[in-house]
Amino acid sequence: MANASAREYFIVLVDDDSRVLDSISDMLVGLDSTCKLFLDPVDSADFIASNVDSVVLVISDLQMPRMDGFEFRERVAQISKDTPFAFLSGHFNLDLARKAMATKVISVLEKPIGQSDLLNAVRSVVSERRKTLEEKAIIKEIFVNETCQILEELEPLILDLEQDPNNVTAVNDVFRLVHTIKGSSSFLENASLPKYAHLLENVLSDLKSGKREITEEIVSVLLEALDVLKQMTSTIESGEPQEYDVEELGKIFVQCKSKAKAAGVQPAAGDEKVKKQPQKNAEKDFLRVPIRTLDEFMELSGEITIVRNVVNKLVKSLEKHFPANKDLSLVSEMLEEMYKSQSRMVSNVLDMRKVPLFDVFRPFNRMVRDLCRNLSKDVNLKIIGESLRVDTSLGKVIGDSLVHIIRNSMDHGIEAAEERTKLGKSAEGKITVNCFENRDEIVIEVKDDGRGLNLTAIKEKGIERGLITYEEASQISDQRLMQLIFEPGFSTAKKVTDVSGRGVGMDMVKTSVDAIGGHVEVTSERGKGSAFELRLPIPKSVLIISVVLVRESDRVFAFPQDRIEHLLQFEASRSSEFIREMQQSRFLIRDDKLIPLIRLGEVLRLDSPKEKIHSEVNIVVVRDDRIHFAIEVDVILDSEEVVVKPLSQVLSGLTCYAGATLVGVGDVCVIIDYEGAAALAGIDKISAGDIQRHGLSKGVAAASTERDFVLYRFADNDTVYASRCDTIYRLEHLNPAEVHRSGRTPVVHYRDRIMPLIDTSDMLGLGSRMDEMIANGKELPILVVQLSNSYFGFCVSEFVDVLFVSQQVDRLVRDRAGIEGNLFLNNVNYPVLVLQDLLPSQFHSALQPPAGSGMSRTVEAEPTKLSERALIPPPKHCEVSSKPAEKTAEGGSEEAPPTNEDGIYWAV
Amino acid sequence: MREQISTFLLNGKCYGVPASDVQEIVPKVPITDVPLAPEHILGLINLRGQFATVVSLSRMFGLDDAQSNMNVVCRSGDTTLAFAVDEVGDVIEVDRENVMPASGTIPRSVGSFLSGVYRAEDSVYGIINIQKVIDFLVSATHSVAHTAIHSGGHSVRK
Repeated sequence: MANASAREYFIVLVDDDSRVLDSISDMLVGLDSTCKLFLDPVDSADFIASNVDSVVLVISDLQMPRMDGFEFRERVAQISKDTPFAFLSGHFNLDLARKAMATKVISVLEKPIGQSDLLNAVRSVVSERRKTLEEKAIIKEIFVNETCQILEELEPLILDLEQDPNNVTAVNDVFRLVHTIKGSSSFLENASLPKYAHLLENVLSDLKSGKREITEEIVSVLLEALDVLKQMTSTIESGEPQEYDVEELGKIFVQCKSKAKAAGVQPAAGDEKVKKQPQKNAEKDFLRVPIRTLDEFMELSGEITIVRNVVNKLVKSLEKHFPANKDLSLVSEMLEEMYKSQSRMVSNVLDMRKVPLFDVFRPFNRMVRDLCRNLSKDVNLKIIGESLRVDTSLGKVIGDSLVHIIRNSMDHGIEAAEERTKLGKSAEGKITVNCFENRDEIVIEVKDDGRGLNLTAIKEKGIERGLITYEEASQISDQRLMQLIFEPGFSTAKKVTDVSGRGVGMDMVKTSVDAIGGHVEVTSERGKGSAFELRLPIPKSVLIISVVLVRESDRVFAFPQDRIEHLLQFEASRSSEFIREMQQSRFLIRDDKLIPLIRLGEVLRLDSPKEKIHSEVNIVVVRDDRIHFAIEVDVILDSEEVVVKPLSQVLSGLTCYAGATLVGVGDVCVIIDYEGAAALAGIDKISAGDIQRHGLSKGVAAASTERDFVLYRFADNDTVYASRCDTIYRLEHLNPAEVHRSGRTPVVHYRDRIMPLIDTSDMLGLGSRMDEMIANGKELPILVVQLSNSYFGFCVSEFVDVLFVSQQVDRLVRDRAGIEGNLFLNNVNYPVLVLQDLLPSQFHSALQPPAGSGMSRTVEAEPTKLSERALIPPPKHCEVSSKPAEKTAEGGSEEAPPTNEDGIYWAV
Repeated sequence: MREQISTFLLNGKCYGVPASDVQEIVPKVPITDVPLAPEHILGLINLRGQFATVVSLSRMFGLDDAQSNMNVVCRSGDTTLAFAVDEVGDVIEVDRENVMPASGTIPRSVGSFLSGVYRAEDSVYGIINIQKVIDFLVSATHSVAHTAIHSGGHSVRK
C-alpha cells in the first residue's frame, strides 16, 4: 500500500537539557524518522498517546524535574508496551542500570555518547518497529475498508427483517457478516469492537436459533448496534486509540431480552453460506482508485480529443491540396485507426467513473424508516431504475439532494395516517423515486402523494420575504410561484422540526444541482402531492456541439443546434403575417400556434444601434420537450462545430449562457442557454404534456386578439368547443376544495371577489357535470369571464389547446343560444361559443354598469347582445399553410464528424 | 517568510498580487463582452485556446476607468482572471512581516479586496487578494442575474 510507506514516523526524545536534545537528534538523522524533542515528559507522553502508531522509538533521560525517568517509562508502557524505549543518562550506577533494564527497555545508554554507538544501539530496533507499524497500518486499512462495506451490506438486511421477520436467509446473512467483523477486528489492538460484536452475535444467534422472536423492537436494537459499530470503525480509522464502555453499550441487548419466544419456526440452517463465496473472490480482481485520478484521466482524454480534431482538420485540408499523395492518405488512415482506439478509451474512462444508483440510495430505506417513527407516519419508499449507473460526481449530488427532498416530503408533504384516511387516501403515504436517462441528462423524479404545495402560503411568504412584489404575486403563474421554494431560507413551515422546516434544504438542493449545470423543478397539485424533478447533464470529457452563429447588435452569439426547430427568414414587410404583437408580448405564428417571440438584444439588454432597419427578419425557433419559443436576431450566419468551454466561476451565475467557445479565427463567442434565456425573458416552461397550462401561463386571454381561440371540451362528449380568447379574462384550474355554496350556486373567492361558477355543460343542455366534478375532488378547469367588474367562472371538463386561427368563423349554423358559429380546422369542426350568452339569467341584473364609470371593452354591450356585435373582418391574407422561406438547420458538411441525433457527439 | 509580489500601476497607484498567483502578463487584446455581466467584468479574452475573464479593478475600487494597456493574468483554482492595468511594474520581494493590514487610510471600497499593504521606500503597494475578488464577482454576477430574471416579467418588453 502506497500510503503506508509514505507515512511519517517519529522518534521521541525527552531530556530537560535542550542541548542534549539537539545533539542527539542530529545524530539520528540517518534513521529516516522525524525527531520530536520534549523538555517535559508529561508533554511527550501526550504526544505518544495520540501518535502510538507512528512512534518507533522513545529515548528518555532519567532525572527530570516534573516526572522522573522510571515513572515516565511506566506511563509509556501503559500507553503502548510494544513501543521501544531507551534510557540515556550521565548518572548511571550499576543499581540504576539494573533497575532500568528491569523495566524492559531496549537499551540503557550512557552520556556522553558518540553517533556510531547510538546508531548501533537503536538502528535495528527502529527498523523492526517501523516494519511492524507499517504492517499494522495495512491491516487497519484493510479492516476499515472491509468493515465499511460489510456495514453497508448489513443495513438493508436488517430492514428486510423488519418487513419479513421469517426471512431466514437475512438472519443468517446478518449473523455471518457480524461474525466476520468480530473475527477480523480481533487482529486489531482495539478491544471494544470485538467485544461489542460478540455481544451482538449472541443476540443474533438467539434470533437464528429461534430462541428469540424478531420484533420491531429487536430490529431497532440491531440498527442502533449497527450505528455503534459504524462509530467504532470510524474511530479506528481516525487512529485515535479510543475504547468504549462495551458493558454499558451492551445493555440494550439485555433489556429487550425479556420476550423469549414460546415456540417458533426452527430456521433451517441452509446452505446460504456458500452462496456469497464466489462474490468475495471476485472482489480481488478490483482495485480502488482515487476519483481524482479518474478526473485527471478524463481531462486528459478531453485534451486529446481537442488536438485530434485540429489534426483531423489539417489533414483534410492537406488532402485537398495533394489529392494523390500516398503518404498523406496513409496518415489519414492511421489517424482514423487512432480515432477508434481513442474513442473507446474515452468511453471506458467515462464508464469507470460510474456508480450504480443502488449504492447512492442505500441509506434511504433506513432514513425513511427512522423518519416514519419520528414523525409517526407511514410511508412507503419505492425506487424505480436504481440499477442505472451514473457518473460519480452526479451520484453525490443525487444522494445529497434526495436526502433533503425525501425528508421534506415526509415532514411536510405526506399527511398523518388518520388525516389521509379522512381524505380518502390510503393510510400509507407513497414516495416514488424514478431514475432514467434522457438524451444527455440523468433524470431523477421524486413524487409523493401528500398534500402538495400550499401556493397561498408560498405567495404570502414570497411577498413577506421580498422575493416577489404584491403586484407580481397576482400575475405570477403557479409554476413560477412553486420555484420560490428553492430560494435561500424559504420555508412556509410554521414550526421548525429537526427533520426540516429551516428553509435550508431546498436551497442546498438547488445550489448543488446548479453547480453541476443541472436543473431542478417542482410541480405540485394541492391535495394530490408534489413532484420534484432533477435533470443533471451527463459529464463528458469534452463537449463538442454544432452551433448556429447569429449576429445581434454587432455581436456574435452561438446557438446550440440540437434544439433548433427551424430557422426562419422573411421580408420585414411581411412581418404582420408571421408575428402578432399583443400588449407587451410578441408571438410567432406557426402551424396555427402562437410561439412566444423574444428579441435576443432585448433579453440581453444590448444597446442596439439606433433604429436598425432590416429588410429581413431572422428568427430561430427553439424547441424541446420543455420549452418552445422563438428568438429574433439581426442576421443568421453559419453553423460550426465548436468545443464548449464552461464559463468561469465568476460568470456562472448568468444562466442564459451555456459556455463560451472560439469561432472562426479565434474570436471568443458566448453560447446561449435556451432555458436560461427563456427564464430571463419570462417565458415559462411547458409542463410535460400539459398544453393547456402552457396557454394559461402565458396569460393568453389578457394579451390576445380576436383570432386566438381557446379549445375545450366536456366529459363524455367528443365535440371540442372554441371561444375567443379576447372574451375571456383568464384560464384557471381551481381546487374544488375552495368551492363554497351561496344558496345553490357554487362560488369561489377570486381576486378579492366572489365568483359564481357556471356549469357550462348544463347551460348548453349537455347535462350537468360540475357538481359531480366538485364532489369527486377533481380540479376544475375554469374560463373566467369578466363582465362589469364581476367575474364569472365557466366550468368545463378539460382545456384542449390555445390556437391562433387564420380563418373566419362560419356563422351559418347557429342552432343554439351562445353558439356564434363554427370553425372548421384540419377536418374537425369546432362550435364557437360566446360564453357571455350562456350566463344564467339570475346574474343579468348584476351587470348593469354603474353610471358614468369607465367601462372595460366587454361591458359596452348588454350581455345578451354580445353575440350580435360586429366581427372584426379577418386580415386579407394570412394563410398559415404558405410556409415562410425557411432554411433548415441541418446543414452539416461531409467532413463533419458523425453526430448522434441530438447533435452532440464524440468526434469519432 | 519572504514572498514575491508582481506589481502594477492602476489609476496612478501601486498594487501587487502574489507572483505565485500570476500566470502571465499579456498586452491589451480585443475583449468579447459578456452581456448582462456586472460592470466590473469587461468580458472574455482568448489566451491560446483558454479563456480568461477580464476584470476592471478600477471599477471594483470605485475609481475611473484605467487606461488598461496590459493584462495581469492570475489563476486561482479553475478560475483565470485577467486584471486590466495601466502598466506592469517589477516583481518585488516582500517580507510577510512588513505587510500591514489595510487600515483607515485606505478607502473601504479598495481595502476589502486587499490582503494587506506593503510600504516600500518609494511607494505603498496594496496587495490584492484574488479570492476576495473572485468571491465579490461571483456574488455580483448572481445578483445581476437574479434582478434580470425577476424584472423579466412578460414575454418581451417593447
